[in-house]
Formats: sequence, structure tokens, C-alpha cells
Amino acid sequence: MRMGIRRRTELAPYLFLLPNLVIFTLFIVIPTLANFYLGLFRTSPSAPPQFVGLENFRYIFTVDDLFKRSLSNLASFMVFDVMAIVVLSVLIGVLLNQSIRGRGFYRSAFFFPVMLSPVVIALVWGWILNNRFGLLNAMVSRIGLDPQPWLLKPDLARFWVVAVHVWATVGFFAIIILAGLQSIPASLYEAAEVDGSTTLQNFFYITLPLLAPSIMTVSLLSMIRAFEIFDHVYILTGGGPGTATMMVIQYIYRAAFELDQQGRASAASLVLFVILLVLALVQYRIGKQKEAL
Amino acid sequence: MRSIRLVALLTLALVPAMVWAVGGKESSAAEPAQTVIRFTWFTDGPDKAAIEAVIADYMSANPNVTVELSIVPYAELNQLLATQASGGQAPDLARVTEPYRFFDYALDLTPYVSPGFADQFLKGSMMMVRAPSGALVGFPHDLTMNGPFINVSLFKKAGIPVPTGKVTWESLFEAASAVQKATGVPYAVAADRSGHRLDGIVQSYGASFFTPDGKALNLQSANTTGAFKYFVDLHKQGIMPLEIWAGGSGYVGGNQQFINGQLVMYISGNWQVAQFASTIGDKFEWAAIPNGFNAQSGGMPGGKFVMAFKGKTDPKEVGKFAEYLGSKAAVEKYASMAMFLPARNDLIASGVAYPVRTDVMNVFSAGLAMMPATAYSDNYHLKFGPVANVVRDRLTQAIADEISFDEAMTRMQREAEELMK
Amino acid sequence: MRRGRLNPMTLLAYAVLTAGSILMFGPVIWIGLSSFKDLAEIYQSPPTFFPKKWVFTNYTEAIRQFPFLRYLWNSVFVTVTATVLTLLINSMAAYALSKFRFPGRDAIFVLMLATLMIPVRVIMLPVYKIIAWLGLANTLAGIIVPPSATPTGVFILRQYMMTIPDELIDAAKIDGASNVQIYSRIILPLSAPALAVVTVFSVMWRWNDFMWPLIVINREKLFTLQLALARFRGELVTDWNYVLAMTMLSIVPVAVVFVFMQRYLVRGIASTGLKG
Repeated sequence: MRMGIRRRTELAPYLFLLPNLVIFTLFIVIPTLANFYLGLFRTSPSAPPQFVGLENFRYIFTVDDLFKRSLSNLASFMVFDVMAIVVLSVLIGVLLNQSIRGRGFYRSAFFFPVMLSPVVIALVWGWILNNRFGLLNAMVSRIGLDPQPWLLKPDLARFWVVAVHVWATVGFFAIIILAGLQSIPASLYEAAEVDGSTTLQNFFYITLPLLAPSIMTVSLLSMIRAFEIFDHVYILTGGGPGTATMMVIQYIYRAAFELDQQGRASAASLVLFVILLVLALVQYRIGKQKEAL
Repeated sequence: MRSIRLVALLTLALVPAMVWAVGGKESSAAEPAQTVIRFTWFTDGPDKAAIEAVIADYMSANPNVTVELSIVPYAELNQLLATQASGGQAPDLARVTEPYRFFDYALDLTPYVSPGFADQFLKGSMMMVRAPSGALVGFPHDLTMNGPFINVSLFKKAGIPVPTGKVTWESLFEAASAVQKATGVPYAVAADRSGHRLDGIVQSYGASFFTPDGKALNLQSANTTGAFKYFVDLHKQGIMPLEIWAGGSGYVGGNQQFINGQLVMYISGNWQVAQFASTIGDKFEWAAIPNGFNAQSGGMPGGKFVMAFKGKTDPKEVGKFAEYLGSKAAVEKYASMAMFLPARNDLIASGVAYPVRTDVMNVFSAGLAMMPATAYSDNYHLKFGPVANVVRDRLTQAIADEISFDEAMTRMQREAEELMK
Repeated sequence: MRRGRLNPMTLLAYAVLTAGSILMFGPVIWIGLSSFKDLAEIYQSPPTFFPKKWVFTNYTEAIRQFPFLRYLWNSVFVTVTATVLTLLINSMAAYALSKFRFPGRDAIFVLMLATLMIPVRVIMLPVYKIIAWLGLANTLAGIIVPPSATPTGVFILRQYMMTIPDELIDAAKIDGASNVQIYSRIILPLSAPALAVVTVFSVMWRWNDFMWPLIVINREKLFTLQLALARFRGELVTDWNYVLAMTMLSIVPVAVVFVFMQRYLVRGIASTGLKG
């Protein structure tokens, strides 16, 4: 019996993994490796690739100011973006899980922005944030404050880039939280109620700890989504003012498609990959320790 | 044990089965009874109806040919064609702006078109479709020309005469600025955020991005640096709005402000004419004026090419259709409907009758003749696109006050040199 | 007693949700209203909220420019097939990664996490070469299969399956259930909320995706709706009136799917009735 189970568990997981792994390897792993290999070449559409060794890496780290700037822009964007998404998605998730009238409507309302394409999102927020004719400045001056150049000052632009991205994605993360809330047995709340626990206590002593796996999911996914932030920012600010909101993917996009330096873009994406690999390992370790407890 | 394998195999089989089911169906449905020419196109509006009309004419004259037009967004065009071509799946023809990107995959049309075909088009543009091997990979389909639009009604309201003849950019901007102050509109002058548009302005000062022989960068020359400095200062003085060049503009482009009558002068090009004619209507009076004339006239050519790719389709049919597209009758019909400038010598000489605003289009075609030689050598340089983007981004940093102008020029030169390697 | 206790929370919930909905939904409504404006009014500044003149030609003209029903069908076909495939292979992989111990498990999982951010644009060329080599260029299958092994889906499902108690599986094993039975009768039903999330994620992403279909397909009769929408974006001029109208049209099906799927988020699993 024991032997039987063990032998079964040896083969079964691989079979379950197989279909996903075949497609994953064929369409993600191999192309990614091919892309890294390109990082060793200088490329241009009008000449054959030329092997340059680690030159692209030397260039982006020692010569190019924009790569470092895009990394630090990304780091600060990520910190605020992930924090805002985690806090807001838990808040929204918990509220949307209340048995209130019109719950379906509220859920849809929060989810709607997720369905819009970045192009359209940037268009409507451009209307809202325009410094001369925007809706926001119209409202700000109506209550007697000074209109602001929302997207023309570096710090304000950084704030709005986070805010618009959170606006566009928080609905998706809230439904992950919502799904997580379903795994918390209602009996726990009933027991707590008998003990006279308040709603707030319930939240901190039951909901939050039991929601930890979902919060972990949201924080890691939002972190990864922050890494690949591109379209929303690129269309809203073009990476500006100046280069204040230029992130790494925009750097890669610029190198590959605006400057025709595919090799340099590949080198930059390898650096990004390594950073993410380290973060994934750290996160995985923390996750494992939690599971072991 | 057995059931696991069974299910695993089944799911594995599902993927290829679906592939065959879907793929098989589509490929059998696509089996042509006649020649199908696949033509990838991007559109800026009125050209779509124009090219469709031209294609329809061809198809009714040649019932054995079906031309499948496939319209894609411009932003992804280069990536799309490069990717499809690398997989051997390029379309037979495509409308492109930078043919050199696809020389490796191009079809040499020489054996399939009549001998004099290439000589019928503007020589400067023709250089773009000659591969280093001498192959003829396509032909210039239309021309664009950069230049300023003005809101004539605002000039009249301010009582300031519209500048005519050879006028420097300085006096043009001064006039626009005076009109803005007198009328209270928010913007005096705006230029699209693009290295190409900028080059069209600085050409007047004898500036250029490359040396005339195309062998080296010319960004550090006194003329070019001086003109860049002036352009940055225009933003510092508030003559040009920060929204467009400093970034943070969202979609608030100059064309939007011009259409709304809030902008006195807008430096763009003839491709705006059709949209202006329909959206401005009779809200106000507008016109195009010649580019500024300092040391010489400014302006920058541009344009689209129709290019042929190697593929499975009969190259004779592709060549025949390409020759038709480039013929006088087809180009005349197309340019007139789309409100573009033709790239054929005979039509440049005779002019094209446009449905509306022929006066405006004539200002642009007159400008073509005045354009300095360096405008052509810049625009047709193989590295023009990348270098223009570097110029744009580095000047943006100076305009946004992120770094000093001198620092911006240093970084611009360093990055552009890297691209020239 | 119970109702009284919940009242302040419920009130707060209403207040926050209403304010939030206005903030979240307001811009969407604005886009919806703007899709009925003519181009001149879309460009007008300061912008108008309600159309001064309702223009329905944005919709009728946009639709007339291409075979709308055919593209709609292509979009539906791609979205449904891709989502079913994704759910199946992702949940199988997630089951293996969450409920088995085997050599290479951690390495595979971390690799999947690390590739989550590889932007499609960056690896597009090699992916396309593989597609062309397999003969999938210019087929709907070429759109459907490559992105289906989504690491995000595996990750969400794996994290959720970790919370399913192992005791349930052990008990089933003692009853003689095979792994396939455990997967299909215990794991899948218990993962309903996570599967709902992945469904929503996949439907939304596949429906809106345009970069990958654009590359795979270069024949208009295989186009999806998003490709039809993207065509209005030119090099120099964009027809915003058509873009907005098409955006609204393309949102409707996803909205319907969401309204339907969100019910599954409250149907819970083993839970003995929900709070409230």
C-alpha cells in the first residue's frame, strides 16, 4: 500500500505538469533563452548581427544614464504601487464581500476599469489631468485652490502614474482577495461573535491572518505586474516629464524599437530577469517558512 | 495508474487535435481558386477609402486576382512585418515608412515591372527602395511635407497681418506670440514631439542631424547646436507649451488645440489637411504658410512606400499589381482622394486636383521644391529614425529642466555615436 | 443582535463603496458618453461630459468598415477555447505543484515565477519563428496555444490549492481514489473561486489582447475585434470617435462574463453558508 502510493506520486505530478510544461517550454523558456543570447550581439536592421561579448552590459551599466534611471524609477514606482494595491484590494475585497444591497453593481463598478485598454485609459485620464483644461483642475479651482500641472512636475507625475495604474488594476486584485475570503469558514465568525468580538477585532484576528495566502498572491502578482508596467505610463506621460516616469520596460522598448538596438534591449531584459528571479526566490523561501510553521 | 496516463495523454492529444481542427479548417478554406495578393496597410484616415477604390478598380479589370487588404496600427507595423518576414510569412505587399528594415526579405521587382518604372518617381525618394544589392524593392507611393498651419481668424482678430514670403522663424514666432497676447488664446506655437518635425524647423538654420555625405553626425556643429538651443528656449519663454515636448501630454496633441482654435501656429504637415477640413469646418479660417526662412528654407520630406516581399504568390502578379499602383492614373486618384502629395515626377509637375483646400496643398507642394538637400540626406539616412529619437529624448530632458542644455547635448552625442557603430 | 452589530460596518461599506464606484466608474461612463460625440467634440477643450449632439454614426460607421460579426465570432472562439485550455492545463500544473513532492518541483515553480514578467514584445520574434515552424502562422490556433501556459494562472491556482487541507486528499486516498479522481472530484470543485478568478483573468486578457493576434494573423478574415479597433490608430492621425465606439462595443461581452462569473466568487466551497 505505502509502496503503491509512493510509486504513484513519483510519476503522477509529472504527468499533470506535462501539458503546461510543454507549452511553457516551447513558447516561453526557449524564446527567453534565445532573447538572452541576442544580448551578446550588436544588432541593426541594416546590418548582420555582430558578436560583441559583454559590451551591451558594459554599456547599459557604465555609459548609459537612462538604464540606471529607469531602474530607480521602477523601484520607487513599485514600492508605492504594490503598497497601494495591497491595502486597497483588501479594503475593497472585504467591503465587496459584505452582504449589502447592490453588491453585484459595486463589484462590476470596481472591475470595469480592468477591461479598458491602456490607450483608452490614457485618453480619459489625459482629459482629467490636463493642466489647462482638465476636469481635475476645474474642480480644484472651483473649491478655491490653485490649479496644478499634474503631469508636468516630476513628483506629481510619479504620483499620478501610480494612481492611474492602481485605478486600472485594483479591481482585478480585489477579486483575488474576494476569492480568498471564501476560504474562510463562516463558523469562525460565528464563534467569535459568541465571544463578543467586534467587527474590527474580527478583521484583525480572523480575516487578516487567514487571508495571508491571498495577500501574498496579490503582493507578488502586483509586484510582477509593476515590473512590466509600460503601456499605461508610456501613453499617459511618455515617460516624462523628461525621464521622470521612464521605467525599465520602456527602456527596453526604446532600445529595441526606437533605437533599433535589439542586442542592448536583450541585455537589459536579462538584468531585469535576474532581479525578478532573486525576488521570486526570496518570496518563495518566505512562503515555505510560513508553510512550515 | 492507468487512468492517470490515459487522462494525461488525452489532454496532451487535445492540444494538437485542436491545432489541426482549427488550423486545418482555416487552411482549406483559404485555398485560392485564383491569385490572392496579401497587402498590409496602415491608415491615417482618408487614405483607406482611397486605396480601397484603387484596388477595386484593379480587381474589376483583373477578375483572376483578389487583393486582400489587411489594416494594422502603425505603432506595431515594423515589428509586425519583421516578425512575420522572419517566419517566412510576410505579406506580398506592404505600405511602409522605412523599407531598409526589410531588405533581407524583399522581392526584387526589376524583372516584373516595365524597364522605365523606377525613373517615373522622385529621385530622392527612389533611393529608399534600392537595396544595396541594386534590387528594386518597391516604389514611393506618396510624399509628405512638413510645415506650419496658422489660424487666420486669430490673426485677423488681433489685427496682425499674416506673414508672407521668406520670413525667419523668429519673426513667425514673434507674430504668433503677438496674436496670442492680443487674442488671449492659451497657445502661441506648438510642434509635434518628433525628431522629424524638429529637423524640419532647424533645417532653416543650415542645421542637420548628419553631414551631407551621410558619413558622420552633425549634431555638434554650431548651426545645429544653436538651433536646438533656440528650440529649447522657445519652451522656456513660454512660446511653445511644455505639455507637448516636456512629456506628460497624454493625448493633448497640437492638432487638438489647433482644431479648437486655441493655438495660433501649429508646425505639422500636409497629412493634417483632410482632418482639419472636416473637423474645423467653418468654425474659423485657417491656412498653411511656408516654413521659416533663415539661412535657407526649412521643411522635411517624408512619405510612404509600397514594398514587395518574397513569398509563395506568383511574383509576376505582384509586380503587375505594383506597377498598376504606381501608375499615373492610380496615383492621381489615390493622392487626390487621400489628400496626399504624389511622388511621381509627372504629377509633381502637373499638380493634382484635390476635392477641398487645394490652396493649402499647393503651399506644401511649393515647399517641396524649396527644401534644402540636407533635408533629403537626413531623412533618407539609414540611422535617421534612431538618431531622431535620441535627439527628441535628450532635448526633452533639457526642456523639462531635468538636465542642462549642455549636458543634454553631451548625452545626445554619446548615445547617437553608439548608434552609428 | 447580529444586524445591530453589523450596522456601522454596513454603513461605512455603503459610503466607501459609493464613493469608490463614482471614482472607478465615472471615467468609464465618460468614455461611454464620449463614444457618442463627433470628433470635433471629442477634441474640444475644456471637454464636455454629455454629448452636445448625440452621434450614432461612430458605431454604425465603425462597424461598416469591417465584417463585424465575423470578427466577433473569431474573438469569441479564441477567448472561449483559450480559456478552457488555460484552465485545464494550469489547474493540472497547479495541482502537481501544490499537492505533490517531487524532484524539480521548486525549480519549475520559481522558473515560472521569474518568467511572469517577460514582456511578450521582447520574445515575440523567437515565439513567432516556433509558431511558423509548427505551421501555426495565420491560424486561430496560433493565437490560442502559445500564451495558454500562463504562469500567472498557475500561480494563482497553486496558491489557492495550498489552502485546501491535505486531510481531504489523504481521506480520499484511503477510500481508494486515484489522482485523477482527487483532481477532478476534490481539487477542482474546491478551487472554484480561484478558477473563477483565472477565468475572468483569461477571458479579459484574451479578449483584449491585440499584439499577439496581430503578429500571428495577416489575413483580415481571421482578425479579432481588437485588431479591428487598433486599425484606427494611424501613424499621424487617430480616429478617436471610432476607437471609443469600438471600445464600448468590445467591453460588453467581457462585462457580461464578469457579471456572471462574480456570482461564483460568493458560492464558496466547503463553507457552511456565508457571513451575513
